[in-house]
Amino acid sequence: MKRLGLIALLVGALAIIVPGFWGRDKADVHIAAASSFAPFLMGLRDDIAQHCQISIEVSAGSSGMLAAQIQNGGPFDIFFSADDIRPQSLIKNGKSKHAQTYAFGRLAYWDTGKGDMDTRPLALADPKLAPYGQASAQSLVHLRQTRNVPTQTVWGRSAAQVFQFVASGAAQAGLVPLSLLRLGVIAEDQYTLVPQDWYSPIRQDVVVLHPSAGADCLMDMVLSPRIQAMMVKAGFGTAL
Amino acid sequence: MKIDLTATKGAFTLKAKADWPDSGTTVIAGPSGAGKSSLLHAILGIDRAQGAVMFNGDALQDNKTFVPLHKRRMAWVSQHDDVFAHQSVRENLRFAERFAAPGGMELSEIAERFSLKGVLDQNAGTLSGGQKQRLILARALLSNPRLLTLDEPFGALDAEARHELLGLLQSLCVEQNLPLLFVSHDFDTLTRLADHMAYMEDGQVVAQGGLNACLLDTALPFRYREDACVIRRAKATAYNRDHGLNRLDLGGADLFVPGTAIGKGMDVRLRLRAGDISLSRSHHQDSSVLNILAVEIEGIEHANQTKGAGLSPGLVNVTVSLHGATVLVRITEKSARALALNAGDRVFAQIKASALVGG
Amino acid sequence: MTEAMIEPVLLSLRLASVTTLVLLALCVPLGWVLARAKGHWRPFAEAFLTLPLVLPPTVLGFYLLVLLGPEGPFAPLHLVFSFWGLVVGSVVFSLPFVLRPIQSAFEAIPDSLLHSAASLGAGPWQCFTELAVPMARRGIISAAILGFAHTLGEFGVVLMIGGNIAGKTRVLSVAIFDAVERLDYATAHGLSLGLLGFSFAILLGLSWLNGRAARP
Repeated sequence: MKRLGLIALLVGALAIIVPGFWGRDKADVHIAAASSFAPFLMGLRDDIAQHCQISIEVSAGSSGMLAAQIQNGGPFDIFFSADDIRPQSLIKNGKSKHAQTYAFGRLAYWDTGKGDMDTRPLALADPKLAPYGQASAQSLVHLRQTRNVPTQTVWGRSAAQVFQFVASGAAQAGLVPLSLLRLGVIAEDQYTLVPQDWYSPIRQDVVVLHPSAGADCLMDMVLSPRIQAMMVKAGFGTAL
Repeated sequence: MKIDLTATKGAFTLKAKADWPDSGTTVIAGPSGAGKSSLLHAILGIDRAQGAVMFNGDALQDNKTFVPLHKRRMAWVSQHDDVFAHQSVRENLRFAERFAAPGGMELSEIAERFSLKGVLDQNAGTLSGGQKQRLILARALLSNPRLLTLDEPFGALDAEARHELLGLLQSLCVEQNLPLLFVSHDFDTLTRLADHMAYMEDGQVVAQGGLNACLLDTALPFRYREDACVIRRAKATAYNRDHGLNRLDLGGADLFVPGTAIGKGMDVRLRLRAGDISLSRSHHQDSSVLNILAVEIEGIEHANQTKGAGLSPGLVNVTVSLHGATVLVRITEKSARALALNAGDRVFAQIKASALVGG
Repeated sequence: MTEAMIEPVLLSLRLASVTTLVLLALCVPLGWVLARAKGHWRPFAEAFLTLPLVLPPTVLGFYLLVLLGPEGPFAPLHLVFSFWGLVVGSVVFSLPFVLRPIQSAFEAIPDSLLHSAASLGAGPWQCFTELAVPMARRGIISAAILGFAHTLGEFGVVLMIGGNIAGKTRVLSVAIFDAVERLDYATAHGLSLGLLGFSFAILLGLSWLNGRAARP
């Protein structure tokens, strides 16, 4: 009986293990995209397949991590960063020829405050870690002059984390990318757009790491007026 | 066996040099902390010591060779319950049988002798303490070793169970002609088993020789014990069923010992306790003591002549020759004076003897 | 469940199974050597093998990435961003969790028992395979459970050296994080629930097996 159980366990384990020896690669173009932009790209999957005759695979992550992975041999063809610093450093290291701006990040102030009694903090992206962080810090100075903003602050490692702080109710308010608010379908009356002259532009650049006809087509498509219009709807500033 | 071993473990230093017969039963005796077990470990190669071990003409260890424990063919019965608790009794025995050199005992025979037949398929971990000890000993014998070694054998068992197992062990060793080396500080155990002794103090072998020589050695504590004794071999010659008495031949003298019948012609070990023997100038015909034998006084040792933990005041150790064999007698100083005993005197010894069956 | 949801589940199971098997093959002999070692090097070896516990997973992942990457000494093995890279990372990360229980189980076997067996004529190999391993089986099974569960839930190292590639390195934990990041809570909840339920079933099964192994 004991032996039988062990054999069953072994067979089960093998059934799971064996298929692993044939890792598959079904996508034509492999994209690394900042977490804030990845959902938009995934929404374009069918559109891209139809327009460029290619299948895409999107790997999401923080821009910093993705850049480190590309630096160390990450198998990606295109990298959509949430800033312009990481693409520049990749170019400097010879991973790509040139960078192109595909969008601008837009910041919004999301307030779920319940009056004067509210003691919950304000959530911000860490300026050292997240591409939106520096803009948030710049905006906060102006924000404090015009509004009653929670005095206590908490720092998120990424824009998504800031969003989750506020969404969960742990933070009263936060400076969040507009794209995330749109993605999360947050009611328009809960947030206000931060004026663009309050912060230096959040330039979001893309680099092609392994050029191909499919990659070129995709790049043209992303920069086309039709897709750029869709991006504005999704909460990004247009690059055109 | 010839040994010359040195080892250091913390503050303790083992520095043992000794030479005892390869056959028969040898005890490593001495006070606790003397390094008896350490010496046994070094002999077996469990703890690696510097020096040499020679056994049956083979160098088990010298400056060129070191035979590992599993190739020494020296079975070890430790002080612990070393049964393989995840196996059945039969599997425990089979394990030993697999590595045995040909010519040893059969598994079924051993199981029979050690009363393990009924529990062969029982899990070894569920045995009683006594059964475990029997299994460990049976397993050791089944491996057909060249030497059986035991560390404080059966110390965890009560006296009766221990005596039974020691008797069984001894008769099997005689049957199989298997040399035995054991460590013990238990006087009863060592007088039951040993033929030779190596006596240790502070990591050194300070005395060695035949058992009786050591039991009588004035430099060793044995002859000053309250239960001091010598061990003599005797042959059973007759048994009187009406009286329940065995007649034994002790070097030409007849000795009567009560108890169950001992097979005629069988060799037995006789324990002659110093306190169970009294001396008289005349042959009393009206004594309750059965054995009254003529002896010659070899020497007299008074309490004030002994050093350290010697005799208690008022007691005297008298060594007498009984048909050429030395026997120790414990009497009072008062009696010694009253009888005016002197070396060379011929007197009568009244002896109550107990036979240790086996060997 | 869509394919995008099933794939990470299967991948995680594959990773956890392979990692556990590799860890057992590694830690059973290693635990034995450490448990029986008397040399002065032992504390150093133990401290070294416990180090993966100290570094935060993402930091450990970063160093593995650099070591296994194209500029690193292990570049010819092509391990980064592959399934086998994840196995290497998970093995390193979970090693202390598997090694410790196994080593403890071996240490619990009395020296005298093994020496007794050796004195019967059993060589080191027989003592190891026929006595030590069966006697330590509970510890070994516990270690396997810990290793399996720890690998299933592992995230930082796997994200760093795996690169979140669907079908290859996007394991369950990464897929859940991914879903949370893009506010796809339905997928995140589904996967999390699946992870919890499935892990519970596996752990329950292994505990059951462990309980049976404990019985004489």
